[in-house]
Amino acid sequence: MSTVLLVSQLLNGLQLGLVLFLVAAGLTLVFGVMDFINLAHGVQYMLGAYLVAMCVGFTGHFGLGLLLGLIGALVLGIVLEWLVFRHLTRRDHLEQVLGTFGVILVVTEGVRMIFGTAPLAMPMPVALSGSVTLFPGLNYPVWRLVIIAVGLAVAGLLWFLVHRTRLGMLVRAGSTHPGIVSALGVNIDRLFLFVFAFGAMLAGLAGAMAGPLVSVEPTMGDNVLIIAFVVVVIGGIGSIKGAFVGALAVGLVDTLGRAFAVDLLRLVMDRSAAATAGPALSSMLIYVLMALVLGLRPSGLFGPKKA
Amino acid sequence: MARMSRLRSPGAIALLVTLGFLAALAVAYVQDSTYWMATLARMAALALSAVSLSFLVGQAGLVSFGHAAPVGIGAYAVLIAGEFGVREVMIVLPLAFAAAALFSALTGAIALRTRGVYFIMITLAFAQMAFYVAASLSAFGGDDGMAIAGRSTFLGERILRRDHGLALLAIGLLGVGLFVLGRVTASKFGLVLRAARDNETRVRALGLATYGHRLAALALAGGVAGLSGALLANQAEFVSPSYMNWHVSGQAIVMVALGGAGHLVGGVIGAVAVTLLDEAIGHYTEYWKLGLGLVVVGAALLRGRGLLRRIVGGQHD
Amino acid sequence: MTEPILRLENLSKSYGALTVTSDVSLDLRPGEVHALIGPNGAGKTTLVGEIAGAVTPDAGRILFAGRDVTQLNVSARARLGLGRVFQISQVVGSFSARDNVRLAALAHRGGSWGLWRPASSDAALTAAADAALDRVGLSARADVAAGVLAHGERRALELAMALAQAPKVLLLDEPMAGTGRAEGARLTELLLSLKGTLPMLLVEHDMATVFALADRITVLIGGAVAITGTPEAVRADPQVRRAYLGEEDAV
Repeated sequence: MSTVLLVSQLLNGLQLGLVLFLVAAGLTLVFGVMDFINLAHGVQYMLGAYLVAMCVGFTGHFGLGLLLGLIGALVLGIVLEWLVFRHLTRRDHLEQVLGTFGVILVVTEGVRMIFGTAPLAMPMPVALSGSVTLFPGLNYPVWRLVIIAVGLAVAGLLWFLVHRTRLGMLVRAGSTHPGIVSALGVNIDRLFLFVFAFGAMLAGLAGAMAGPLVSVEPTMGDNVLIIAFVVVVIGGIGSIKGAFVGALAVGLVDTLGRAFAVDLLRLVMDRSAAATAGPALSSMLIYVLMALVLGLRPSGLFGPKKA
Repeated sequence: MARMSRLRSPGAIALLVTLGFLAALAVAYVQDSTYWMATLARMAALALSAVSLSFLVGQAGLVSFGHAAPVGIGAYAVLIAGEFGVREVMIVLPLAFAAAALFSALTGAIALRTRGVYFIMITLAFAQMAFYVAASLSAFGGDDGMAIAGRSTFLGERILRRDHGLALLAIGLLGVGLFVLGRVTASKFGLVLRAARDNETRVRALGLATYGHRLAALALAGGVAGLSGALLANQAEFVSPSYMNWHVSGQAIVMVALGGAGHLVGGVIGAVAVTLLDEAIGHYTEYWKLGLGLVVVGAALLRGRGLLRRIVGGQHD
Repeated sequence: MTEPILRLENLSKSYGALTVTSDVSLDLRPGEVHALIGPNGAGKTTLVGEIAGAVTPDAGRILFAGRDVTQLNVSARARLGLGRVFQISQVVGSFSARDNVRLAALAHRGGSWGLWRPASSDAALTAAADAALDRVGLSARADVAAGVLAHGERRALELAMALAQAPKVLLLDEPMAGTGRAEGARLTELLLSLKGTLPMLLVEHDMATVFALADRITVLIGGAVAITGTPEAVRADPQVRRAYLGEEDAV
């Protein structure tokens, strides 16, 4: 295994981890503040990718399209919150699973009706579509570096918002002591709307950033949703820091597992069996990681002591 | 009160459901509609799975988001046993039950350390693991799955080859499953299970340990789900990892919640409703999931208390 | 001199710099009602947790029925015969009052792994439940869901559940909390009728109840035992008057 391969896979893992962080950040906050289990969060990711792809195609300019698309994602998030989610926040988890699963079905099929099942082409700005030589022998795609930069910037911004602003203080307090926040006279419903819409936009941003790398299709949010849940649960519900650590861990484990599983399996089984089993078993690694974490710490790495 | 008296006669409920399905099957048989006989077999199998999940969710308070896993394991038991030349129902069904129950017990032993949302998610994680293990079984179709060697035989007779034979078996198992799980719910074991669902602190302070009861409930429900998977595999004559897709687990929860988690029979109602919606809307548009989704969201918004509660008007809490 | 049924020896517990239980020793003799009082923040709740098994002390021992139970959890202590009435009612809201007591009787009698016969058709279990309900005067409300019982009835139901466990000791954590005057009087009456039949450790704010029931009183101040003695001795103690009863008089 060469250094070049290892470094590029580490960067890939970091990049995947940061995309997951963008999705998981909103999910964990909504979870933490409102004890709301939102299966439809993956739909926001998918909608973000579609909206940005559409707006970029329409305006012919990537930056402008991205901005318009993200505003669209924010607005759709507010609309969905207003139509559906706010009515489910004080229900039990079973009803939340039911309602948000229904939203997945409706939105996914709606997108399929409008755009068809064929993947949508997501244009990448020309200036960012090449590769750079990081060190001799390693050419790395610029776009992935952009994703890493954006992800780190958003993580920094979130850290600032959550730890240095009054709003962030309320969000943190809300995720551990919801009673106190409402006792302070804060309108917890408005707080939820804000957190929800912001989280939806971040998920949309993640979809837009990942769009050029994966195929933009109606079900693209499904797997991301499940993996984002894995991230949230590993990190501990309601914890931004947990989401960050969990996202990087999952991104790295998944990427490195996929890159090296077949080679490792070939040590113990024959070539063709390893080629079949490798991809499937490496897909499993993150779930093994999650089961291990929860087996040892039933409330995740940074979750509240009592679940 | 209403709940008490309903719980008291799981036999009557099981009999009623069985007779209802048999009547529908008789009509389909007289009309010689293989389509409806196959649909009824599928419906009964899905209802069996939903009833076992309802037992977990509604009675034990364990919201499993990985119910597709034991169902899929039951299906794979049929496929794998078939590849080894074993197709006898009297062997295959106990095998499917045992394999799925074992999986549920082993994963449950870890999952039960967690509570609430964490439990929902860890059951999902274990189901995803099962999904990927199935996809890695290259000898049994890998990602794509494969056709089973043939439908199971009953005491050596090939009576399941005909759709009404299979439907009879599915309906019979559904009736037995409803009856057994109903008895267990009303038993002393079930009393502890239901009490722990509502107030674990109290049950602990009484000196009752809940872990073993919950683990047993998971294993039992998993085993029943395995039977459902064995039926589904026979009906489709095909098994693939998609049996264990998380969407299938989500749909099982939809069935339970739609029918009403307060009573086991809600699982039957939910499964029948979802299957009929599927068939009804599917006739008009390929986008039938849009319609199903609207119904599901609507049900959740309209306080999502379940069809049963609306119909019977019983008080659950 | 009879051996005490429950004995705390030099219990201590701190959370960081805050000492909530400081070298507490007390005992409960067979048949007696021993009241534990103290101002808010005296560490009563923590001490109840330590006795019940929900909180592990940093130091000291707890002896129950001749056994060292310091390391046992809540369930294990309950099985040894520690019955408990919670400060905030802990009943199964969706169950009828009778099913709640059936559950408690089941915990005592065993058979919680009975998978087949309906719990309601076990005559012995039902008889035990009905006897306990009768004891607390709830027979007429046996079929009512516990969640819709009046507050005082729920306290009585908790007591019935504790009795159905056939406990060796009753740990009563503020049984009067939140009850109205009439309800409180009825509960005090009920506890009086149980006095002498089984030892009770009573943690209570309501002084009328404490002085009506207690054989001995322990006053907890700042996590430590200030005095243990008869009601008369405690009432006369100047330290107690200053720290605790004076506060009551002022109200």
